[in-house]
This record gives sequence, C-alpha cells and structure tokens, in this order.
Amino acid sequence: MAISDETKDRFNATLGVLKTVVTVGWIPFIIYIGYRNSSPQPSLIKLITPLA
Amino acid sequence: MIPFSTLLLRSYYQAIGWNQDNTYSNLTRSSAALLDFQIPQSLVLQLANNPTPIFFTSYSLDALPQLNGAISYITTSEAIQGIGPSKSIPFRDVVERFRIYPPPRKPLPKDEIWLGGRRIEGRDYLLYSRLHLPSLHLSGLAVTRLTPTLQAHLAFLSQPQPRTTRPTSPNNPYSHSHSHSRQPSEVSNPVPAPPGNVLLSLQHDTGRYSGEYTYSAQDGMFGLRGLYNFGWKGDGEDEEERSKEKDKRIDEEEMMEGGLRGRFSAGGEVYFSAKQRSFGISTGVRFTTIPPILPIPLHSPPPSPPTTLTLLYNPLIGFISSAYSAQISPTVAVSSRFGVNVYSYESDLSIGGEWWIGRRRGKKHLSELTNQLEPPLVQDNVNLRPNDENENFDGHIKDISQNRVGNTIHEKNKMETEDRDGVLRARISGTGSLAVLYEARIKNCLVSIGAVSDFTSRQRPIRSVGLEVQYYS
Repeated sequence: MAISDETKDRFNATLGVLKTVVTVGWIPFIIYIGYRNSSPQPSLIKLITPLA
Repeated sequence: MIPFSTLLLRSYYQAIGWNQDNTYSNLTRSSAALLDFQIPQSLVLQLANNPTPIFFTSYSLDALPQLNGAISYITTSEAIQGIGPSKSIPFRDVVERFRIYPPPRKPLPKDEIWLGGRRIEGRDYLLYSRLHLPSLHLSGLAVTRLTPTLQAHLAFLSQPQPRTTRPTSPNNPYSHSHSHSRQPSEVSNPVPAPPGNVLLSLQHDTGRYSGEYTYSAQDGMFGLRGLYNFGWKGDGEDEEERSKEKDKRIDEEEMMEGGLRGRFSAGGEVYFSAKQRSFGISTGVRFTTIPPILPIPLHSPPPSPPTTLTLLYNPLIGFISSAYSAQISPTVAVSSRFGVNVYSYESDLSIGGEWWIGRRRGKKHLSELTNQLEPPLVQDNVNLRPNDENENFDGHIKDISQNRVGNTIHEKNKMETEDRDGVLRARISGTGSLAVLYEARIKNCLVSIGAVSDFTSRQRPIRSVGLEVQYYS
C-alpha cells in the first residue's frame, strides 16, 4: 500500500511540530525535573543561572 | 582538563556502578590519555555550579577567534558527591591520565527501596542540555538504565532553521525525517554549522562481554561493537585468589612467577550505512596488568608495573596500530604508538608521557594523614586474629606486621601521588609536531595551558596556543 502525499505531508508536519516542542521544551524540562527531585528545593533562579 | 559535562557523565556512571571502561570504544583509553590529549583551542573560560547534588549548571565562554558561549543544564537521578568546588576537588579526577582500570564486574541492580508496598527507587537517568550562543544550537543527551546490564542513550543535535530556506521538495528523500538537516540547496551561512542529528545507542555489559549498538539518523549509520574479556571469573575472583593465598602453608615452596600478570580483552567493531553505501570494520586486542589486591600478601611476587598494550587492526584499509603504555615511576607514565599501513607502508610513530609535578598539599598533610591511618590498621590487626587461630602464632604476627607495613607504605605512596596538583604532558609525533600541555590547580581554578609546535615549518613553528580556566563553585 503506497502512502499518499497527503499522509506524508501530515506526517512531516507532525514531526516538525514534535521537533520544535522537544527543542524548545528540553531545557525547561530538565530544569523542572531537577527542581522537582531536589530536596530541599532551591529557588528557581539558582537553578537557572550558575552566577546566582 | 576534562570538560565539565564529561566529568559529570563519568561521575554519574561511577555513582550508578556502570563500568565505562568495559567497551570497545574505550579500548585504547590508557594510551590515548598520553598520546591524544587535547590542547585548548583558544581562550576558554568555564564556570560550573551545583545548586543541589542532582542538578548542575555551567557557563562556558570561548573568546578567540570570536566570542562564543554555551550554557548547560544537567540533572541526574543519583546524587553526585565527587564534584565539589574546584578548590578541593581531587585533581586526578579532573584530568585525563594514564591509569589501569580495575577488572570488569557485572553491574549490580539498584538497591530496592520500598514504600507502602511499592518499589520507589525509580530508574537511573541523566539528562543533559547545552545551548550554544549566539548560534542557538541545542545539543541534548538522555541516558537511562533499562535493566541492570542494559543502558540506553539518546543524543540529539538541533540546529535552528535558517531564516532563508527554500521550501523542500516532497520528492527529497531526506525531507521526511531530516527537515532540520542541512540541505545542499540551502543558502550557505558564512560559518558552516553542524547538521542536526539524532544518535541512538544501547550499551550492554555483563562483565565477561559488552556490546554497543548505535544508530545515527543523519547518515543512516548502524554500528555494532563488542568486547570480550578472557579469563573473567565473575565477581568472586578477588576473594578466590585471596583465599588461595591464605591456604598456603608458611614453609610452602613458592612457584616463581615472572613477567606481567594481566588480563586480555578482544573486541571488534562493524559499521555500515545503507544510505551512504559505506562499510567499516576494525578489530582490537588489549592486554592490561591487574592492579594489586591490597593488602599485598606476604609471599606474593612483586606486583607488575601498571602496563597496557593494545593492538588495533583495520582489515579494510590495512592499518595496524600498536601502543605500549606503562607507568615507570609513581609520577611518570610513558606511552608509544606505532601505526603502519600494510598496503602503502605509510607509518607513524608517536611518543608521549605525563609527569605529575607540584605537591601543594601532599607533603604538608602527609603526616596528618598517616596519623589518621594508624587506628584502623591496629583495628585490622585485632580483627584478623580470630580467623587464624590454628596457624603458627609467630608467623601470624610477622604476617600481620608485614601487611601493616605494606599497607601503610602503599597508602603513603598513593597519597603522595594522588595529591599532586599539577601534571605536565608532552607528545612528539613522527610528522615533527610537538605538543605540550600543563594542567594545574592554580589558586582555586583549574588551569590548562598548551601549545602545539611544528618543527618542519620555518614560517610557523608554533601552530597553536591555548589557555583554559575552569572554576567550580
């Protein structure tokens, strides 16, 4: 069964959106995981900048 | 100096008990530390901080030839204790150095923690991100342990979409999964950026053998690597040898052993890409001495000097490379490598070495440390006694005192070498290039200064000079 062009386009669009979500959300995700699992939880600014 | 992210990854592996040495990719690690050390490319400043034991941030600034920066965020499941302020972090941990890695062991599962009838210890993971500025490249890494002996890696490199891209044609075979990769039709930027990529890797380690299976999405490259350890007897190996030594009678004739005592590992690597129609293969053997088991038994032959020999062979291009590395004194290790192509007879010889210099804290604190050592050793003496009641009492006392002396001397030596705060490395290769690198702890910073020079060129005898400063707060 050949995949239609429309399915391909939709697949590409989904992949593009997924990629954007991963690249934009990756750093906030890491900061969130680190913040959630730390005990005691430090202030967020301390996690975000090493100079704080 | 090891980059902060690499240092963290190593500390993480150590914390979860994963043996990074037992892979084919690290077969030549000991000689590479002496022969392939990296000279800082320009002026590099790095600042790292760990606000909590599981979260790390770092800034790095690359000043020449143009200002570049990077910011990293890393989090792990396991608290990492070894990374402290750069004032007190063990210096031997932050530099690549020649060392003999301990015999491989089967990785142990994580300790079970139960709460309310459920296991809550969770899975080991490490998440890493690095954002390059001003280019906004993002590199990420996720590592997790699927089973005690299986580990998965996912690494990606993402490049922001260039502002002036042409719409990709639907017929382009690369467009469906690599829309972020660099297309030939794109308008070229002045500085070529690395294309986006996704790398998947599975590592499997059972102690006796290890395997690594990789896939790179950009070029569709599959890779298989395997390493087998000969004579692997499991985790009880040390204890068995120890009990054998213990069973010997005092007046038993000792078989004279000579030469180096060690272990062999053999491995190979195959990689192929259907997309690029390329194929590669390489094989390798390594011999490495076994580190002595402490305390050194009374009747054992002297421990072998730490030595590693490796032989690599690439059958496709006919390249053979052999390396010999050895620690010739507590502060000096040297290595030589000879590579030859069996088809073209092109050859290359490299010689390198490291010399641990500087003793900022070693001498001053040595007497204090020795004093601290004494009480537990006396304790050992008492503890040993009930086990050997039937043995000759005199022999026993002698044995213990010998052990004690050996132990103290060894600990002293160990501290003397390990407390050094500076290392000088040099390598010279057959093409006439000489590289020198000095790494040291200066004040509270970790500094490395290096230069590469080329004897053959009259115009530019010094090819590059670099300085790197790291500060961990």
